[in-house]
Amino acid sequence: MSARLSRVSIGIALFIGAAISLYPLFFMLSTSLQPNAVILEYPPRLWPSEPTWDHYWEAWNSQQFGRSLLNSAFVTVAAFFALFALSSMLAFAYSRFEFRGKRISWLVLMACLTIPVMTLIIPQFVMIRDMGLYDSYWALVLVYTASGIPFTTFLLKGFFDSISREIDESVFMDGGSSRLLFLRIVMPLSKPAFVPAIIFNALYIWEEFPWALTIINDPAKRTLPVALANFQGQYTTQWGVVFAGSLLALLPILVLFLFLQRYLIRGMTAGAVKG
Amino acid sequence: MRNRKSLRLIVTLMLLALLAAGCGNGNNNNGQAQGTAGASPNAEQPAEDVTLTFWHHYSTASAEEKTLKEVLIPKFEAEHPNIRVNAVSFPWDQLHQKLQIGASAGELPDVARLDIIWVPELQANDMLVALDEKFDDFAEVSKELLAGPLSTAVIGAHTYALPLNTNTKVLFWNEKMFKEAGLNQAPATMDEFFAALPKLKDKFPQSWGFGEPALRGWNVLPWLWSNGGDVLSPDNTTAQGYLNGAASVEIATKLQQAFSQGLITGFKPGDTPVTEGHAKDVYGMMAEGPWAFAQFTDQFKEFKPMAASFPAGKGGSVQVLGGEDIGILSKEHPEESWEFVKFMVSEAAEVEMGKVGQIPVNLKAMEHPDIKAISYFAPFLEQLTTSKARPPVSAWPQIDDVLNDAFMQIFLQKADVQKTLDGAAQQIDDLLNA
Amino acid sequence: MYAKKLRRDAYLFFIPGFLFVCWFIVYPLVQNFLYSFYDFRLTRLSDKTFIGLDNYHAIFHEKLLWISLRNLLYYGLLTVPGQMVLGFLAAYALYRSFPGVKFFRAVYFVPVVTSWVVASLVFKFIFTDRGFLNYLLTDKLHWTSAPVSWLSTPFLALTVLALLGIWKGIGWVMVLYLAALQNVPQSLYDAAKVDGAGAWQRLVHITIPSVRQTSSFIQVMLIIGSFNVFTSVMLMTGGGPLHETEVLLSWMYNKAFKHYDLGYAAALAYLFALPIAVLNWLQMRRDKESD
Repeated sequence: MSARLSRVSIGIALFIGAAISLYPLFFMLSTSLQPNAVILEYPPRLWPSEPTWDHYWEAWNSQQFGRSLLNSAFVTVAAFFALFALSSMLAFAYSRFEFRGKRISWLVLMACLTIPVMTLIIPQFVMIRDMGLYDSYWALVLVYTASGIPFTTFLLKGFFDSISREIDESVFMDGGSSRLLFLRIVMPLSKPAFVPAIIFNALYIWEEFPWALTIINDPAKRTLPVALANFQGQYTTQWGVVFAGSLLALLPILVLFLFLQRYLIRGMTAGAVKG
Repeated sequence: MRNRKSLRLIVTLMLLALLAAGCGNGNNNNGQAQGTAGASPNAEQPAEDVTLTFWHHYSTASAEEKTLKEVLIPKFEAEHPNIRVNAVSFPWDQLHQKLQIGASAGELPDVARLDIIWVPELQANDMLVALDEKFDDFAEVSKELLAGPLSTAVIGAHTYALPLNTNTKVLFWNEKMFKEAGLNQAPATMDEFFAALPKLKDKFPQSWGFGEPALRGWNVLPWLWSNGGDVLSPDNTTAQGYLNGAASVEIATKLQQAFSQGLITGFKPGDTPVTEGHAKDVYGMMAEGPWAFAQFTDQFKEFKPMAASFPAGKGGSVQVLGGEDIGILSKEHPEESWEFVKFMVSEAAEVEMGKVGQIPVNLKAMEHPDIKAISYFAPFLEQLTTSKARPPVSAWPQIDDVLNDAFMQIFLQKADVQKTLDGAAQQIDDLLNA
Repeated sequence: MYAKKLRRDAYLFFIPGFLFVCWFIVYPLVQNFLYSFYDFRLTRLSDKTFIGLDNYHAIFHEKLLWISLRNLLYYGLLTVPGQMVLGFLAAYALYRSFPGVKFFRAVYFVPVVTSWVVASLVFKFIFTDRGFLNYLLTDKLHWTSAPVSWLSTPFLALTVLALLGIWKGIGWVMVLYLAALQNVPQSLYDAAKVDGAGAWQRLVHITIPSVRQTSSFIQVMLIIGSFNVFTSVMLMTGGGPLHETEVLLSWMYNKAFKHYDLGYAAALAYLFALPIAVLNWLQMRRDKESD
């Protein structure tokens, strides 16, 4: 009896949690469908009586929204591939080799992991300016790549470590090179660990705000978060347009996540953070 | 098996996105951005095409921005087939910041719309082209413009920008709320104003009598001035005896009481935006500029705005003079930039912007029948006759911060008015003497 | 026998990534340290003057130092345990499969996917004075007689910021715990059941100790995360009213890009980043030793 009772109460708690998780999204949807004149009405309406898609058109047409979407996609994909290539090699080096400076460089890497990235915004700004890359995609891609490396290396090294070293021996016995071991054995076996790497890095880059805000002027190069924040005016905010744009921005990353989410936990399970 | 398939699908999708984005960017890496990607009407033009970057702070998706992008720029580009204009919108405070950052990064726009209070600072940083020195036809162009606004861009012997629009604020009153509260007309005096507030509150307990969107000089000065007070002495050398003088303390105390009784608000984080709130019966009154009319017609068609002079106190009905200039920062294309500036202050462009609430400074535009027909300009033009400009001191941006903090303390922390203003006056004097 | 060749290979794998990190993270870190001793203005980057410890001196005489420290502490004390406890509970409820488990896992992760900018804007709108929450509290439930000024009361505004942080972080913690819980051997539970341990005892004596390492990893990451709070502050309160909700990064950003005082901002960054790096490093060391 009590087991059943506790199961019911857990179920109720789960539904409440789900409602709280989804409520802001529902709220955005409902606000984005209301005409401007209705949004500020009191009492607030839960769902519009006459839904309108106008705000979606407005959001899409202003601020070169489609352009920002492409920019975000481009920067995310480019930075991800760069940081993934560099991190996996780095993780492989730490997992499989002994070399001079291994310990100290690992400490440096882990120290980088614990420093809030944004505290580096000033020297990075000066550096990017000196390189003549202010207001360019490079400024975004280079910094995002570097920022993602420590965590991704940490994640992948954990997974690589769990792959038996006996395989290494046999590869080398057969005259294989370490490149072969990396590309043909370790990487394919580590596929589950790619999923958390993709999700966390894609999320970070897709939604990064302060750096993009600081370094990009040209609206043709703006990423989505900057375009969205720009909908908020000095004294007025067009909430309908803001939330329509927000939902449009959320969609791609949500789809990516829904695709990958069933592999996420498996990737973490076998990965860096063992219980 | 399915695992591998989905992974491959995702990688393919990502590569496609990369490809698409990459193609879109190919024609865009020479520092000068183009307008909307790809779809430019002048794609066939020869290589000496010039693209001007124009930074402004017409709010995103506002009627002004629509006029700029859909009417003015296409017209300019048709008249000047070799010039394209890439208009970039920033929020007001971000534009100021971006200009400063851009200056140090060597990435400035060719032309920018500037709040009149920024011009001295930008000129001091050597960012603006002296127009009268550089362009021979400057005198012809400038004599078409109102002298008062033009003077905001004169620093020393030279003129560093041209006026683009002028403005001030008037008192807006919500007719429906007033009628229901038993009031027939807008308060003409401060006493009537403070008497009207509780009446509005009684009838609309969930609303406020008056909304003030912020507490900077732009917001606070009209209250001080109209009550006979001020922030600085007439020669702009000290705040002692002015900001903390009897007239300033008196009006600040009255406003503090009104706030604590729930009669005024609008400047707190979390408050309903004032202009929208005025249309939705949240604020019975507000002091706003002509752009509010444009916003009402754009978003709140059924609301009928009413405007009157700002309530007069011991010092009269004194509002703050605002407005924007247009300046050239271009190193590479000053001539083309000048063409664009001339176009923006021309009669035709000023009339178009006038229709969306930007009071023209072009003399011909002011006499144009389309502008004359805009009935809501009347109270602004009348208010402009008594409006005063903010003190032209280089420390004004910092003084603005001091004012904001002082009045925030007075309202939100119920701080002692005299003591707070004494402290603020001291801080301002330190800034003036620095 | 392969040692020499392998060492050469090691550097091939090691150098590109590590150089990149040095270039864009380690080098700026050093630069930041140097800047903090200069009068260095954004408006004139080419000439900077050495002023020794003046920037640090100025910071310690600034009231904002204590305000932003207090705010970070409050934010951390709410968000770190909040995310950990709720994330663990979600994982504990969802780590065994039952019909609908995948739905709940996905739903709980949705806030993680929602960007900070978007989440901040929504929360701002929900918590405005005439927003939905006040309507619920005042007009529906009658818990409060007048609308609560969430965003203009410093303490409440910080609480709202923390709620946003918790809301957004639960899913991430849940995923990490889900992974860890799946590695706890079933045999442990079976043995405990034989010994007659109840559900509560199994939780306390088996589950929680088994995921201790994960917990400590999560804790470190969350502390770092709480120091990183910026976007929500900037978009929801702007550090106001009266700088009462200012945190390290908002203060630093304003100093750098509003007051153009890069040297001061660099000193600030160091003053905050260093202790947290040391703290986390100690924590990681302790974990290693206790292994």
